[in-house]
Amino acid sequence: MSTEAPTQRYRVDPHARFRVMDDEGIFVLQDAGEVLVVNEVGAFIVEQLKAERSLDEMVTAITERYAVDTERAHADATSLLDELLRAGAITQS
Amino acid sequence: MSFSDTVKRAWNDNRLMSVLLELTYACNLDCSFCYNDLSLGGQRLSLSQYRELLDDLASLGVLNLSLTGGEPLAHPHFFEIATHARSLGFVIRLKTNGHAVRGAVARRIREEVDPFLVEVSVHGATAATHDRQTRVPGSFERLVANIRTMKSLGLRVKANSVLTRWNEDEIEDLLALYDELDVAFQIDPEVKPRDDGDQSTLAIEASSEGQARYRRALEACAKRDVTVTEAPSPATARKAIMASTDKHCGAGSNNIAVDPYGRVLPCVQWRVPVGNLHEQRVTAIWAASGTLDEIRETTKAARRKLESFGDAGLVSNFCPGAAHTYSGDPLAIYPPAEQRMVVSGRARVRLTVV
Repeated sequence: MSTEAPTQRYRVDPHARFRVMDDEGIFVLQDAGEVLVVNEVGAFIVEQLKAERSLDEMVTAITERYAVDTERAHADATSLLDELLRAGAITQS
Repeated sequence: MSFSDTVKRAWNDNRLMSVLLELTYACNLDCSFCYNDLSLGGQRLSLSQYRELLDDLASLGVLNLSLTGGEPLAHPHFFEIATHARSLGFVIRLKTNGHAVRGAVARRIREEVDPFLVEVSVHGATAATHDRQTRVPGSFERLVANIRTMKSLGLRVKANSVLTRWNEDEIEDLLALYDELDVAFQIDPEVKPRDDGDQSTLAIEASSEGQARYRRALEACAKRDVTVTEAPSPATARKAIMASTDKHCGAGSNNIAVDPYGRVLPCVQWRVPVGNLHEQRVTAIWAASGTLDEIRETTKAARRKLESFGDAGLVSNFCPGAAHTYSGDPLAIYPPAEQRMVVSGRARVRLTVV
């Protein structure tokens, strides 16, 4: 999973749709017919993965944008990525 | 955080979330109660204008995009428009009569458009009833076959039907057909006037006995726990939203429609142009249309008016757009809404007596 692959890259699942609306992100999981809402930081992380950034690069971007240390940013990012992988919103590329 | 919170904010903050594009009024069927105003004229939007429109809608953060008509597949550039929409990440709903969605076309839709939902029109449970409405012999058999094809390709299909005097006697069979085809469904109990106000379509409104039979059939269906697709659209969150907004609906607040001639409308049912894409880009219309502001205020006035009727107003299923089509006044209670309010009143009296 994401915690074991710092250079791993991700992408939005081809059958999922993602939009940033104001300060949050909305996934529509087309196959499951479900909607998943992520907060501002989550939306930022998804934008990073859409830009084909690796986990390490995402963590760096998070620490530059938000007042968090690397350890916290890594933990939050991996937690979200794991959740999105489980939900089928993203895939490992 | 929930999706209904997001939609709630979209209603309250005028955040455009859902757009419906009527690509063309051309159609390969000839439904007797088609609501399109076929006398409308004007310059059709070009493919480059559709691309620009879709780019603008993506930049506005629009999530849901419905492609409809007429028959959307009758548009000569349907696949170019739809695949561009897909590339921009819209959640696409295709509203079609289903007649042309077979073989290679169905596969192209699955592979190139990848819609969230394909909505097809089913007018009856038998070929005689369906074909009477479409006025194309064989259309029922072909539609049923096409639905099976779509399902086999992994497309999510929903059947849209309108309760009429012609199909009210076979409502149970219609529900059984949805069940057998394994499709979600929505039945509109109300035949609408045409968009130009022509009310001749109302001649096939369901009878009061038919309406009662329809309600009983739906209740029996609900008891069997039939699965209905919960689409991630504003409609799914309506109840939660209504509790925290002062508007009756999202017309012009989080959704708009665009007709084939570039007229931008607050909703597909509310046919008052708030701008035209031949004159302005949608971003400019959305930001500064005075008519759009008036529409938003009217939805607030509609909410206040319906609340003054108490529970009856809540169950009236009132639509300001339909009201405008009936009488030119978006706040005037029109016959079917009034009828629902009366029925609701009778139900309350009966409960009180019991």
